[in-house]
Amino acid sequence: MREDIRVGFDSLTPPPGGLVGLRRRIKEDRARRARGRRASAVTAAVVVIGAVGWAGWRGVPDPSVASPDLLRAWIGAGQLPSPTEPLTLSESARASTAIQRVDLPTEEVVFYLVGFIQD
Amino acid sequence: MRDEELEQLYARLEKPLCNVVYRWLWSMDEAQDVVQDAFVRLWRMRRRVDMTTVEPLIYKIALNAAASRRRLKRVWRWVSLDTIRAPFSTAPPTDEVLSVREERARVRHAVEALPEDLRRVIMLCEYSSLNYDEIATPLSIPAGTVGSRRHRALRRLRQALSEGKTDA
Repeated sequence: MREDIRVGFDSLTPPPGGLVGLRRRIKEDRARRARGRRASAVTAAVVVIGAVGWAGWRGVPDPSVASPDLLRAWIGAGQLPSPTEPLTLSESARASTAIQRVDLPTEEVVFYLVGFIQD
Repeated sequence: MRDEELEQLYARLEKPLCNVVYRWLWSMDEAQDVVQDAFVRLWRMRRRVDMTTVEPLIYKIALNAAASRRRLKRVWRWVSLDTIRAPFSTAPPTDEVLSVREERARVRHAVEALPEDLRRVIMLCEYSSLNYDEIATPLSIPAGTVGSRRHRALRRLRQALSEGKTDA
Protein backbone atom coordinates (compact mmCIF):
# COMPACT_ATOMS: atom_id res chain seq x y z
CA MET A 1 0.00 0.00 0.00
CA ARG A 2 2.64 2.48 1.05
CA GLU A 3 4.56 1.59 -2.16
CA ASP A 4 1.64 2.86 -4.24
CA ILE A 5 1.61 6.30 -2.72
CA ARG A 6 5.27 6.79 -1.92
CA VAL A 7 5.91 9.49 -4.55
CA GLY A 8 2.97 11.65 -3.57
CA PHE A 9 3.58 11.17 0.12
CA ASP A 10 7.23 12.14 -0.05
CA SER A 11 8.23 14.31 2.84
CA LEU A 12 8.92 17.69 1.26
CA THR A 13 11.22 20.31 2.74
CA PRO A 14 9.73 23.76 3.36
CA PRO A 15 11.46 26.79 1.77
CA PRO A 16 14.37 28.15 3.86
CA GLY A 17 13.96 31.10 6.22
CA GLY A 18 10.80 29.88 7.92
CA LEU A 19 11.80 30.91 11.43
CA VAL A 20 12.98 34.33 10.26
CA GLY A 21 9.65 34.78 8.48
CA LEU A 22 7.75 33.80 11.62
CA ARG A 23 9.70 36.30 13.74
CA ARG A 24 8.97 39.07 11.21
CA ARG A 25 5.26 38.23 11.18
CA ILE A 26 5.02 38.21 14.96
CA LYS A 27 6.81 41.56 15.08
CA GLU A 28 4.38 42.98 12.51
CA ASP A 29 1.42 41.52 14.39
CA ARG A 30 2.65 43.08 17.64
CA ALA A 31 2.96 46.50 15.95
CA ARG A 32 -0.45 46.16 14.30
CA ARG A 33 -2.13 45.24 17.59
CA ALA A 34 -0.43 48.14 19.38
CA ARG A 35 -1.70 50.50 16.65
CA GLY A 36 -5.16 48.96 17.04
CA ARG A 37 -5.15 49.56 20.82
CA ARG A 38 -4.09 53.17 20.31
CA ALA A 39 -6.81 53.66 17.69
CA SER A 40 -9.42 52.18 20.07
CA ALA A 41 -8.34 54.53 22.85
CA VAL A 42 -8.52 57.54 20.53
CA THR A 43 -11.93 56.42 19.25
CA ALA A 44 -13.24 56.03 22.81
CA ALA A 45 -11.96 59.50 23.73
CA VAL A 46 -13.57 61.00 20.62
CA VAL A 47 -16.88 59.31 21.46
CA VAL A 48 -16.87 60.68 25.04
CA ILE A 49 -15.93 64.16 23.92
CA GLY A 50 -18.52 63.97 21.18
CA ALA A 51 -21.24 62.82 23.59
CA VAL A 52 -20.49 65.60 26.06
CA GLY A 53 -20.27 68.15 23.26
CA TRP A 54 -23.50 66.91 21.70
CA ALA A 55 -25.29 67.08 25.06
CA GLY A 56 -23.94 70.62 25.60
CA TRP A 57 -24.94 71.69 22.13
CA ARG A 58 -28.46 70.35 22.72
CA GLY A 59 -28.59 72.35 25.97
CA VAL A 60 -29.27 69.19 27.99
CA PRO A 61 -26.32 68.33 30.25
CA ASP A 62 -25.66 64.63 30.75
CA PRO A 63 -25.31 64.03 34.52
CA SER A 64 -23.77 60.59 33.96
CA VAL A 65 -20.54 62.02 32.52
CA ALA A 66 -20.20 65.07 34.80
CA SER A 67 -18.20 65.59 38.00
CA PRO A 68 -20.06 66.59 41.23
CA ASP A 69 -18.76 70.18 40.87
CA LEU A 70 -20.11 70.42 37.35
CA LEU A 71 -23.45 68.96 38.47
CA ARG A 72 -23.73 71.61 41.18
CA ALA A 73 -22.90 74.30 38.64
CA TRP A 74 -25.56 73.00 36.26
CA ILE A 75 -28.14 72.88 39.07
CA GLY A 76 -27.11 76.39 40.12
CA ALA A 77 -27.47 77.66 36.56
CA GLY A 78 -30.88 76.06 36.30
CA GLN A 79 -29.79 73.67 33.55
CA LEU A 80 -30.60 70.67 35.70
CA PRO A 81 -33.51 70.50 38.17
CA SER A 82 -32.74 70.22 41.89
CA PRO A 83 -33.21 66.69 43.17
CA THR A 84 -36.75 66.44 44.45
CA GLU A 85 -36.16 63.44 46.66
CA PRO A 86 -32.60 63.35 47.90
CA LEU A 87 -33.12 60.18 49.90
CA THR A 88 -34.99 57.44 48.10
CA LEU A 89 -37.20 55.11 50.10
CA SER A 90 -39.13 52.14 48.87
CA GLU A 91 -42.90 52.39 48.92
CA SER A 92 -43.20 49.87 51.75
CA ALA A 93 -40.57 51.65 53.87
CA ARG A 94 -42.20 55.07 53.62
CA ALA A 95 -45.01 54.23 56.05
CA SER A 96 -42.60 53.26 58.79
CA THR A 97 -39.67 55.62 58.14
CA ALA A 98 -39.20 59.28 58.98
CA ILE A 99 -36.38 61.38 57.55
CA GLN A 100 -35.30 64.91 58.37
CA ARG A 101 -32.49 66.83 56.79
CA VAL A 102 -30.18 68.51 59.28
CA ASP A 103 -29.02 72.00 58.33
CA LEU A 104 -25.23 72.20 58.21
CA PRO A 105 -23.01 75.23 57.55
CA THR A 106 -21.49 73.45 54.51
CA GLU A 107 -23.06 72.22 51.30
CA GLU A 108 -20.35 69.57 50.93
CA VAL A 109 -22.02 67.29 53.46
CA VAL A 110 -25.68 66.35 53.58
CA PHE A 111 -26.88 64.85 56.85
CA TYR A 112 -30.20 63.15 57.49
CA LEU A 113 -31.80 61.88 60.62
CA VAL A 114 -33.56 58.64 59.82
CA GLY A 115 -35.98 56.98 62.15
CA PHE A 116 -38.05 53.90 61.57
CA ILE A 117 -40.63 51.92 63.45
CA GLN A 118 -39.76 48.32 64.00
CA ASP A 119 -42.55 45.81 64.62
CA MET B 1 4.22 30.27 26.47
CA ARG B 2 7.41 32.25 25.94
CA ASP B 3 8.78 33.44 22.58
CA GLU B 4 11.63 30.91 22.75
CA GLU B 5 9.20 28.05 23.36
CA LEU B 6 7.14 29.12 20.36
CA GLU B 7 10.26 29.24 18.17
CA GLN B 8 11.41 25.81 19.36
CA LEU B 9 7.98 24.41 18.59
CA TYR B 10 8.06 25.99 15.13
CA ALA B 11 11.52 24.57 14.41
CA ARG B 12 10.32 21.11 15.40
CA LEU B 13 6.93 21.13 13.67
CA GLU B 14 7.47 23.29 10.58
CA LYS B 15 8.27 20.38 8.26
CA PRO B 16 5.50 17.95 9.29
CA LEU B 17 2.95 20.77 9.42
CA CYS B 18 3.97 22.07 5.99
CA ASN B 19 3.69 18.55 4.59
CA VAL B 20 0.17 18.15 5.96
CA VAL B 21 -0.99 21.57 4.77
CA TYR B 22 0.70 20.99 1.39
CA ARG B 23 -1.88 18.25 0.67
CA TRP B 24 -4.59 20.93 0.81
CA LEU B 25 -2.89 23.64 -1.21
CA TRP B 26 -0.30 21.80 -3.34
CA SER B 27 2.18 24.64 -3.01
CA MET B 28 4.99 24.52 -0.45
CA ASP B 29 5.26 28.33 -0.33
CA GLU B 30 1.57 28.64 0.48
CA ALA B 31 1.79 25.79 2.97
CA GLN B 32 4.59 27.58 4.80
CA ASP B 33 2.56 30.79 4.75
CA VAL B 34 -0.43 29.02 6.33
CA VAL B 35 1.78 27.36 8.95
CA GLN B 36 3.33 30.70 9.92
CA ASP B 37 -0.16 32.19 10.14
CA ALA B 38 -1.16 29.36 12.46
CA PHE B 39 1.83 30.11 14.70
CA VAL B 40 0.97 33.82 14.81
CA ARG B 41 -2.53 32.83 15.98
CA LEU B 42 -1.01 30.54 18.57
CA TRP B 43 1.24 33.37 19.73
CA ARG B 44 -1.81 35.61 20.19
CA MET B 45 -3.38 33.04 22.54
CA ARG B 46 -0.06 32.17 24.24
CA ARG B 47 -1.24 33.19 27.73
CA ARG B 48 -3.96 30.54 27.82
CA VAL B 49 -2.14 27.78 25.94
CA ASP B 50 -1.56 24.50 27.76
CA MET B 51 1.89 23.29 26.72
CA THR B 52 0.91 19.64 27.18
CA THR B 53 -1.71 19.87 24.42
CA VAL B 54 -0.13 22.52 22.23
CA GLU B 55 0.81 20.10 19.44
CA PRO B 56 -2.71 18.88 18.62
CA LEU B 57 -3.86 22.50 18.94
CA ILE B 58 -1.40 23.83 16.35
CA TYR B 59 -2.36 21.02 13.95
CA LYS B 60 -6.01 21.96 14.41
CA ILE B 61 -5.35 25.65 13.73
CA ALA B 62 -3.22 24.85 10.68
CA LEU B 63 -5.73 22.37 9.24
CA ASN B 64 -8.62 24.81 9.60
CA ALA B 65 -6.54 27.59 8.04
CA ALA B 66 -5.55 25.29 5.16
CA ALA B 67 -9.16 24.27 4.49
CA SER B 68 -10.23 27.89 4.60
CA ARG B 69 -7.41 28.98 2.22
CA ARG B 70 -8.35 26.16 -0.12
CA ARG B 71 -11.97 27.33 -0.28
CA LEU B 72 -10.78 30.85 -1.01
CA LYS B 73 -8.47 29.58 -3.76
CA ARG B 74 -11.34 27.74 -5.37
CA VAL B 75 -13.41 30.91 -5.48
CA TRP B 76 -10.51 32.88 -6.99
CA ARG B 77 -9.81 30.14 -9.51
CA TRP B 78 -13.45 30.30 -10.51
CA VAL B 79 -13.40 34.04 -11.11
CA SER B 80 -9.90 34.30 -12.64
CA LEU B 81 -8.56 33.27 -16.03
CA ASP B 82 -5.69 31.24 -14.56
CA THR B 83 -7.53 27.99 -15.12
CA ILE B 84 -7.27 28.27 -18.89
CA ARG B 85 -3.59 29.26 -18.95
CA ALA B 86 -1.20 26.34 -19.58
CA PRO B 87 1.99 26.21 -17.49
CA PHE B 88 4.89 27.70 -19.47
CA SER B 89 8.18 25.85 -19.87
CA THR B 90 11.05 26.32 -22.33
CA ALA B 91 12.81 22.96 -21.97
CA PRO B 92 11.09 19.72 -22.96
CA PRO B 93 10.76 17.44 -19.92
CA THR B 94 12.68 14.15 -19.83
CA ASP B 95 10.91 10.78 -19.56
CA GLU B 96 11.94 10.48 -15.94
CA VAL B 97 10.57 13.92 -15.08
CA LEU B 98 7.39 13.10 -16.93
CA SER B 99 7.03 9.84 -15.07
CA VAL B 100 7.47 11.49 -11.66
CA ARG B 101 5.03 14.23 -12.66
CA GLU B 102 2.46 11.69 -13.77
CA GLU B 103 2.87 9.71 -10.58
CA ARG B 104 2.50 12.85 -8.45
CA ALA B 105 -0.53 13.91 -10.45
CA ARG B 106 -2.10 10.50 -9.91
CA VAL B 107 -1.51 10.62 -6.17
CA ARG B 108 -2.72 14.21 -5.99
CA HIS B 109 -5.87 13.25 -7.86
CA ALA B 110 -6.44 10.36 -5.45
CA VAL B 111 -5.88 12.56 -2.39
CA GLU B 112 -8.13 15.29 -3.83
CA ALA B 113 -10.90 12.75 -4.24
CA LEU B 114 -10.83 11.92 -0.53
CA PRO B 115 -13.53 13.52 1.61
CA GLU B 116 -12.23 16.18 4.02
CA ASP B 117 -12.67 14.01 7.15
CA LEU B 118 -10.69 11.11 5.70
CA ARG B 119 -7.99 13.38 4.33
CA ARG B 120 -7.45 15.06 7.69
CA VAL B 121 -7.00 11.71 9.40
CA ILE B 122 -4.69 10.16 6.80
CA MET B 123 -2.44 13.23 6.58
CA LEU B 124 -2.12 13.57 10.34
CA CYS B 125 -1.37 9.85 10.60
CA GLU B 126 1.24 10.06 7.83
CA TYR B 127 3.10 13.21 8.77
CA SER B 128 2.52 14.20 12.37
CA SER B 129 4.04 12.36 15.29
CA LEU B 130 0.68 12.46 17.08
CA ASN B 131 -0.86 9.23 18.32
CA TYR B 132 -4.50 8.29 17.69
CA ASP B 133 -5.66 9.94 20.91
CA GLU B 134 -3.89 13.17 20.04
CA ILE B 135 -5.19 13.14 16.47
CA ALA B 136 -8.72 12.57 17.80
CA THR B 137 -8.57 15.74 19.92
CA PRO B 138 -8.23 18.40 17.20
CA LEU B 139 -10.67 16.53 14.96
CA SER B 140 -13.23 16.19 17.79
CA ILE B 141 -13.76 12.48 17.12
CA PRO B 142 -13.21 9.35 19.24
CA ALA B 143 -9.77 7.73 18.99
CA GLY B 144 -11.34 4.58 17.54
CA THR B 145 -12.77 6.60 14.66
CA VAL B 146 -9.24 7.75 13.76
CA GLY B 147 -8.27 4.14 13.09
CA SER B 148 -11.37 3.34 11.06
CA ARG B 149 -11.09 6.55 9.00
CA ARG B 150 -7.43 5.88 8.33
CA HIS B 151 -8.31 2.40 7.12
CA ARG B 152 -11.07 3.75 4.85
CA ALA B 153 -8.78 6.48 3.49
CA LEU B 154 -6.04 3.99 2.65
CA ARG B 155 -8.53 1.67 0.97
CA ARG B 156 -9.86 4.52 -1.17
CA LEU B 157 -6.36 5.67 -2.08
CA ARG B 158 -5.35 2.15 -3.04
CA GLN B 159 -8.43 1.79 -5.18
CA ALA B 160 -7.98 5.17 -6.88
CA LEU B 161 -4.30 4.52 -7.58
CA SER B 162 -4.87 1.04 -9.01
CA GLU B 163 -7.64 2.40 -11.25
CA GLY B 164 -5.27 5.14 -12.42
CA LYS B 165 -2.64 2.57 -13.33
CA THR B 166 -5.14 0.45 -15.22
CA ASP B 167 -6.32 3.50 -17.18
CA ALA B 168 -2.71 4.39 -18.08
